[in-house]
Amino acid sequence: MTTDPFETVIGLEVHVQLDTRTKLFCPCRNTFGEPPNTQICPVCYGLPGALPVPNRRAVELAVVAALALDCRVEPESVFERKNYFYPDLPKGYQITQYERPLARSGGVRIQVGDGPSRTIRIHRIQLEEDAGKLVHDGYRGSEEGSGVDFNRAGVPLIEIVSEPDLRSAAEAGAYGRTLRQRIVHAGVSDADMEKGNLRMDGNISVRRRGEAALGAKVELKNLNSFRYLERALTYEEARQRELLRVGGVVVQETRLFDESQGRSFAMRSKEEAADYRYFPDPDLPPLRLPPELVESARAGLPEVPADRAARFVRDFALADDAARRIATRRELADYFEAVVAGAADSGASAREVAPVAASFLTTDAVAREKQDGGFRAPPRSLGELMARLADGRLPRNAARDLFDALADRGRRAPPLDALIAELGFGDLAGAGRLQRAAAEVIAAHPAEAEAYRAGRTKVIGFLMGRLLRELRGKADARAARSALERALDAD
Amino acid sequence: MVLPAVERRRRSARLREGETGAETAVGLALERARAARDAGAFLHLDEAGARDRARALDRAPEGRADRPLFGLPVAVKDNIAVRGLPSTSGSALLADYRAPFDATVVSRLRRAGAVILGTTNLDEFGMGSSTTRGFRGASRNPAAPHRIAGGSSGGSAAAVASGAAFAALGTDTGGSVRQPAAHCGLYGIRPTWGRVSRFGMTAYASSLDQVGVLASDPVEVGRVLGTIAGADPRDATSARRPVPDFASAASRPRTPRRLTVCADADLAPLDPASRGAFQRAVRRFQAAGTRVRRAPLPDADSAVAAYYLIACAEASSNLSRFDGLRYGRREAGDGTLAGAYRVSRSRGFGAEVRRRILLGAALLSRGYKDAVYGAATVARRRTREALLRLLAGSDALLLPVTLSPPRRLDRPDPASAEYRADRFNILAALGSLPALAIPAGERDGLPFGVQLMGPPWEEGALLSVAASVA
Repeated sequence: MTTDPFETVIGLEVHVQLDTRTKLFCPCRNTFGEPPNTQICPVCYGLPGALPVPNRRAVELAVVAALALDCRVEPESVFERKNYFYPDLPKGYQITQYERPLARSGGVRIQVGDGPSRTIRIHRIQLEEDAGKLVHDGYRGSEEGSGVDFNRAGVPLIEIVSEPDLRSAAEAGAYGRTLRQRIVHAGVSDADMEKGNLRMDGNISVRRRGEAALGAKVELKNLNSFRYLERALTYEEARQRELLRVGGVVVQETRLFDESQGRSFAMRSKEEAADYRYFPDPDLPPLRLPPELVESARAGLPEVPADRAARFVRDFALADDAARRIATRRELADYFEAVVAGAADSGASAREVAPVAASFLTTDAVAREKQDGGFRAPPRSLGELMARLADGRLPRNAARDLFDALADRGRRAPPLDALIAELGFGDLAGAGRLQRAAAEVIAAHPAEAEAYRAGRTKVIGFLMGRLLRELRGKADARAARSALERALDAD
Repeated sequence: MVLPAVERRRRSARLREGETGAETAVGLALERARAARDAGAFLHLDEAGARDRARALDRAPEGRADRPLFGLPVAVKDNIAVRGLPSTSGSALLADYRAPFDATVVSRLRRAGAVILGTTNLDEFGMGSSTTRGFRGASRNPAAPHRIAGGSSGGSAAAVASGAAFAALGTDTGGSVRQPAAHCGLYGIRPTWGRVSRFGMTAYASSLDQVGVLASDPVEVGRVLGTIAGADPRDATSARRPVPDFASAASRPRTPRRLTVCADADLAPLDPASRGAFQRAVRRFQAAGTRVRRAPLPDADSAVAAYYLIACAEASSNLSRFDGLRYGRREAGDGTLAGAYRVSRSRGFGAEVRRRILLGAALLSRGYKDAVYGAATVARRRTREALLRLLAGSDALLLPVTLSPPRRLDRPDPASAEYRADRFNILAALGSLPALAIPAGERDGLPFGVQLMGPPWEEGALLSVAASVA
């Protein structure tokens, strides 16, 4: 097999909407799916005399994102105007950052399949406003032309620009997914691609292996799912390689990938490229970020999932795959930790309860979590519940019923003991009760107890049957057995 | 048609003392305002709104103490948003546009008890110094009806000088408050950039634009400035610093100990009569005991160039929002999007506005931006440093406003001559410094004014100095 004479070079520009309550420069709501043009004001609609005022929360989230991607946050950055005319751009310019972005020089590690992991460098992150959206149908008058919905105009975005470090469509996909995971995990954005929270443009060129200079690059616009991104880049890579192979020339241009036809089309060439006439926005003073702001963002930064999983293994004795499964979902991991803390507060050992809680949360609790769209049971109560499940004081089916009851009541749930009494699991509320029942069964059957002590341990089956009947099925077999064993050994 | 300054002051005093009701004052003002409108001072007169407001004020006279501008009729330049009134900025493109909100300065005026008479004429988007370039024609000078009132806040100056308005808001990007004030015999202040909120002012050149005040007395300027000044959460560039009591400053005349006065060479572009009038103003300070130091101004030609390059660059971007799609005049053109933009904008904007947009867009383009825009920002910084040096050790810098008397309406200047005539006025704008035009007698029987420029945030000191020669 001959070595590949060509090398593909890809860089991505990823736009992420920040999960703020309001827009970047005005008090309008940052929402999705509202009726068109209901979330607008003089500022984001571009009326004469309106002025932008930066949203502090958006700046904070941008800083968090920058730190989560290992970037260096600049103490001072500058908003500039990118000037062009388009109906979705109400002011005739977009407020963005250009010469002095908010952050620079970061990176993430990616892995494709079982291949070696590689660091993809991030060139810069800039904070900017989103544009409106053209709508072509579904409104009154849509037969006569397109309309514009400005609800999205002014929504805060960060643009994350990678270095041209990616070497294949698969790497680009892995990079995009890793980025998305970090962003979601950092709590900066839902990065819901269906809603356009995360959008990507790709720059791709092909050069002869060993050459230092990059080939003519093609920009692919609006790659709005990872699958689509990979398909578009794969197509474009093949197109450029084939051109070069037959001695052709790649033209520097912007192309649009059409998935239904499986090919890309030229949008505009380099000569037609717009001149955006950037200059510092005189309505906005330079953005100065005091070191305290950056440090507090850093302190509030959630653990990277891999680190968190390792900690779960170390501190909570979880198995590797269980730890990873929980740590990759931030909400689940946060809830899990709160549950374990609740158990520890009730006097149980975290290392004993945690594996039980982990398995309960990822199996028994899943259906209910989906139904509620999250965990509603108070984590402290669930922690106590898990402690009782772990030491056998409660059978699993009772634990499930109690979990449902806690989720039903949510924050208004009574203390666990009261709930147990209320639901008729009261007989089992304490290990003492089970133990007493075991002692009574033994006292009622002295011959069988004697036989057990003499070494005929199989009799315990008979005793368990009695005990379980006594308890009317409210204890599980494992708990009943250990209670009997304890009572017999103690005598 | 001019109402003498003495009479203007008497009227506002009677109102202040409670001798006249707001309704009476506004009624008198509206009579004058109708005549002023016919002379081109007002673009829109809100007679019904003004009367309603005056009646409402009279019904609650106990609010007088909390309302420093109780019942005072005020006019607002048409590029400042007044809720519900047309806000055209003098442009045909915005002929049918009404502001849906109040500019911060307007809501502050209202809260202080002022009554908004209407909106005043201007050069389109503030681009000019004659108030002849609005889509509704020229504003005449109340002192000489065949002459310009100056500009671009010429309508505001005429509204005050004619006795219709007690004071008026103007906007000053490179002299647009001070020059018409001088041409109409008024006081006109351009505050330090950031002193007054720009929220609601249609931007021409944001880093140079500042809302200012025209009135016939320093105290009145101080009262209105004190009302509109101060930090505004809706303007990220408004300064978060306390607002001194400008009215008291203006009522404490203070003869300056030291004044820096521009050198004789700087006066060369003035016509002889204006030069004589300026020297008389200097002698008047000297006679009062002021020590005068003569020093040359920063290079005027490079400052004028830097000013126009920056102003046009920012204008090209600020005026991009006027595309006819969401509001304003809209033309279909050839049916394409580009055609709609092109035709809406070329028919909607006047020639001078188009010229400045094209110039600004060109010089921000690749290949020019660093060389031209970059050089202009350097020249701007140098100008500011030079002005601060001139101000060091002085109470203020004294310099002319205009080169010659207000020209006749039928003898327009070429644009290039108009740009050069801004040479004294663009300095405070480039330096982000406060400057106050004050009346200084007459020449050729027409009002003449000079200007005082001060260190940053020293508007109060300028008003005290002005009061000493009032």
